Amino acid sequence: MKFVGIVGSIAEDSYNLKLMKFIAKHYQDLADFEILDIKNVPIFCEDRDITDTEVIQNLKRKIEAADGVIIATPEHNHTITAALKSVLEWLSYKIHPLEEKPVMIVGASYFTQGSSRAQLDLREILEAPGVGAIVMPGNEFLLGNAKEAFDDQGDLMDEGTVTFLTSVMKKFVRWVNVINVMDLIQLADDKKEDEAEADTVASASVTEEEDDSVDTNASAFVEESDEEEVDANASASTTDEQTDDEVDTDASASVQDDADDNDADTGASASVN
Amino acid sequence: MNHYIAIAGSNRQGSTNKKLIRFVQERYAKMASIETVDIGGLPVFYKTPDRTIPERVQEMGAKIAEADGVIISTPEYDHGVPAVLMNALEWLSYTIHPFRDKPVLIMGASYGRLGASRAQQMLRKMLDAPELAARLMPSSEYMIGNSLQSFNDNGELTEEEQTEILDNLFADFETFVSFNKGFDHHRDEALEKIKRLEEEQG
Repeated sequence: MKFVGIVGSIAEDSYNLKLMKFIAKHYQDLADFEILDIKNVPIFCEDRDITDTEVIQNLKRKIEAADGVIIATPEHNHTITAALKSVLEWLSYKIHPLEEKPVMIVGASYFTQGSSRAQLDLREILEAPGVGAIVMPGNEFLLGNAKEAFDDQGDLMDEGTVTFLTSVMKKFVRWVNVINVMDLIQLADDKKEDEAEADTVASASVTEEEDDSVDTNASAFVEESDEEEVDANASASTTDEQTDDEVDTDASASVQDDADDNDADTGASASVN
Repeated sequence: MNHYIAIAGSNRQGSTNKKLIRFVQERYAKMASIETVDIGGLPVFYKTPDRTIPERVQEMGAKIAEADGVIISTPEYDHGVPAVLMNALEWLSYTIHPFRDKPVLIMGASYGRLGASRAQQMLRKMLDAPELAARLMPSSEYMIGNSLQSFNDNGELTEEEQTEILDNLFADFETFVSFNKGFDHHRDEALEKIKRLEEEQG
């Protein structure tokens, strides 16, 4: 699994960057991480469109190639930063790489709020039509008093915090799998619709040839349709079974992951509850 | 005559929010002196380690601090305030606080029907935050939806009803600004009274 991280601060000594680096280091067993650089992204301006430049295209490529995106947001003036909002505006103007992409939110702050209000705003912004991300609900990770939270190696010191973060990360992995399955179901549904349409067109043309009366046409059509529906249902259930098998495989895979993980004892049981 | 700073939350040339600000500026030119300030072209905000801010921000800050009030017209991008406006407000709340206790009037224009309603809500919340701490005119919204069709060639609002609502809003704002002028004095008095009563109770 591959994740990319976006940190909503461009400052070098950002605690949200520290948090993201900790996540990238600590959860290497769950996924490969890459933290994206947004320092060189100018403030969004339609009149000076840089969508086609390497800065934006690079972000687009990395996000599209990733299975999921993690965003760490600070809170300025009770909301997200302009730096982060600007990146999201570039990624929702002429290109939309975040569309239907699984996203997870975390945040850190100096005092007690832990970026609570910024995270709520970020959800709304990510769900706006031009952005279209699929944000994992709940599972709010709010790191307050960030200055005291990390040791000299940049590791989170509080065990309870790490346990909770682990459960959230594992849920996100499962969330990403669920979204991927949704895509497969969508593809299967689209295929089924196309097949049903093709069959209905064929039966309609047969009915018109046989009878002139409208009523008889209608009933004949209905009879034909019913048959086609039965056939369509049969093929649909076959498809569903196939999809169900895939869902089962993924579910058992994630259970397997939990069992194998040494950290699972407290983490897994917390998330199951 | 009151002096206001007017800000359009856009860095786009054809911005209808700029049109709205210009309309306000011209319509009430004989009632108040309204000066527009451009918020585009600033570097992306971050907390500078040496706590310095760009000179342009210092100048903007000084103008806002001196003004009797600020009028802001905001577009809506992705259900929120555009980054260009957020960015200006971040700079204008870092080591300087020109918005503190400053009366602010919020309005907005959008191409769609909603009139930047969600951005206006978010802007209200931002200006309320401690680092900005502006005085927002309560329960006031002014939304111009379908903004591309809302102005004539002279830059005036085409719908009479919208102009009437704006006149009422501006009158409210003038009143709000004059009330605000006595605010600090009354607040200091109230604080002194609280302390005095506490001492008296022993």
